[in-house]
Amino acid sequence: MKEHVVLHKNDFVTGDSFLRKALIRFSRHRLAVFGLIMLLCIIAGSVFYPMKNQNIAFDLNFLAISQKPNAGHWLGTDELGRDVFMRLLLGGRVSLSVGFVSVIFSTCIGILLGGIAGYFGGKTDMIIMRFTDTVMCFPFLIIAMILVVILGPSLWNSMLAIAMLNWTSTARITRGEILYLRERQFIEADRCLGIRDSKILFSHILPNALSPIIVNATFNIANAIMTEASLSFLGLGVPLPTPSWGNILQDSSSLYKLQTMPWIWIPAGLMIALTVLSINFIGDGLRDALDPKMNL
Amino acid sequence: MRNDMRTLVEIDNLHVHFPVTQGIIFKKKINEVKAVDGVSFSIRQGETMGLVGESGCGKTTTGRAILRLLDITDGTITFDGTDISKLSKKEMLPMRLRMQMIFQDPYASLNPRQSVIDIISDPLLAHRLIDRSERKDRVSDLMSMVGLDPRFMNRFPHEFSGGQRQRIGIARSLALNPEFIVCDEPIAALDVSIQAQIINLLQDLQEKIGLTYLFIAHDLSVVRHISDRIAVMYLGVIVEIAKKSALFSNPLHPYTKILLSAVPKPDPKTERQRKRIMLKGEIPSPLHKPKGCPFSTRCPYALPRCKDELPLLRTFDDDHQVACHLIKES
Repeated sequence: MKEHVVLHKNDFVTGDSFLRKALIRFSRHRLAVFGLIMLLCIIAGSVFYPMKNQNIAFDLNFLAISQKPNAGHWLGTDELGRDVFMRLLLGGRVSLSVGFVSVIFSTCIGILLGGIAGYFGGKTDMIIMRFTDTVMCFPFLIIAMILVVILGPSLWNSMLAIAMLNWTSTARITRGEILYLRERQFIEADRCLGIRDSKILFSHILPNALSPIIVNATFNIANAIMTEASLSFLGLGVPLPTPSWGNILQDSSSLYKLQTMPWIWIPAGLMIALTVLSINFIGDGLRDALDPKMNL
Repeated sequence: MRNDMRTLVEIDNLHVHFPVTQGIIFKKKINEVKAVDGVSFSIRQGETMGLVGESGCGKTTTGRAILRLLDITDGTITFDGTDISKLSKKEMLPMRLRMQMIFQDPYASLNPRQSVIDIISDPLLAHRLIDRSERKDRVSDLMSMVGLDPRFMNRFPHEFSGGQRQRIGIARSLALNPEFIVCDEPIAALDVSIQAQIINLLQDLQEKIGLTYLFIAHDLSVVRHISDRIAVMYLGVIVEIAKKSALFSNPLHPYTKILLSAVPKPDPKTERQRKRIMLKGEIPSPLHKPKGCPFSTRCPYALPRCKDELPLLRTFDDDHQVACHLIKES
């Protein structure tokens, strides 16, 4: 008796690599592509637009105080006469880099600790997870403040503080996934075949645990952007007058500004929401693209 | 079967106990599950040893312990003259080239995120048996050896049927060119039509490259088809080992007799005349084993002695070993 293989239209019998298939899957995910384009626009805008004429974001201009959006100032000016649009784009540089860099750091820490805890189990697991619980128990903002106070307020130090406190959820998720995966038969097969522990953990178990980690990372980016905003508000984030989306928002938290000058805070809020949304879409698309079981 | 063949694997008084603990930080051992409780047998080179028993009797645990996938509580495992029961993980690596396993569930034993070429070549690369450049050729060879089209090497496991997946698993085990393979119910999860194909494939491979199998199964007809000798397990111990023909024509242990009487006959006339010995009760929990013969609680012929004294495996005529007080030497 011969077994038959069902060939369908988009079948790759040979040739196409996993990466190419993943790329095709990603490009078919409309929301993810939309999110990617949106995010690229935001990044390009904040990187390239402020390259010239940056001064209007910092210089006080008493001839143009609290202007509504107009042809000269697309999003108007604030109470010191600074151009809101330029501040918004400059703020994007800070917020995006804090979001991405701190999440890359925290995800790496989380995967490493969670992975080791889950894979080796026993005492290792016990020690690492209790440490994770301890870090989780700290009041986030207070510890972040203390860290920044010790290290001094700057962009890098707030990234570091956020990364050092944000990895716990990733660690827990990774550990949980790995606890389940390491008992699977294909991992036992790997052990039987004599494959190294590090190889089993990082190239056989982790790829299977990736989807929740990716989704969690996208949430963490949003979180990091908001935390940076809080730190900035307390004067511990990026020092003024450098703008970030967070400190623009916090700066306009007075009732007067909220009621009469919406052109200052609505764009900043929108940018955070849009960025987080597009990152979430991308995460969703990535998860599907990296899963070989998804159809093309 | 020749009796003069070299012994390849020798298992002597193997114990695998799993502790039952209480408490979270300070774990206190309150009991243990004696999954394998003093198993001894040997496998000769080139033969197929069948290992049967009902579920939970410890046959899979035995198979996994032989490959050192589980911690052994006591006993020795000698592979080709080397005692492997106390080797460290590192010392075990060269032995892994020589002994492999085929797993029960082809749906769970292949990594869903790896393509076939990676699945089959990973062990080869891990042991540095090939260069990356030779990967394709070697995987093609292995795939054709197990009857798979090498053109499908870039596919993922979910794109294959159960039988094809089991073939991938077999190719992976064969990659390291082992001498001994533990087949842990390799066909239990497959359709009947596919079961025959896989069995035939295993037999062909045995002929072609001279493999030695430990074939674990609960399906007696399959074991009868493939094995040279058969060991019957019950509750962590072996109750009878015999050549296939001797076991089926002249079962000595009451448990084997009952087991064989449960196999339906394909002919309705003889099936109607088949006398079934019904087994009363359930298999005792391995947590609270009977003191004497493990089968004494359900054995229709049990004597008072059976309840107190554990019968040991004794050899009877022509390589037939039984652990039962009732059997008298002929």
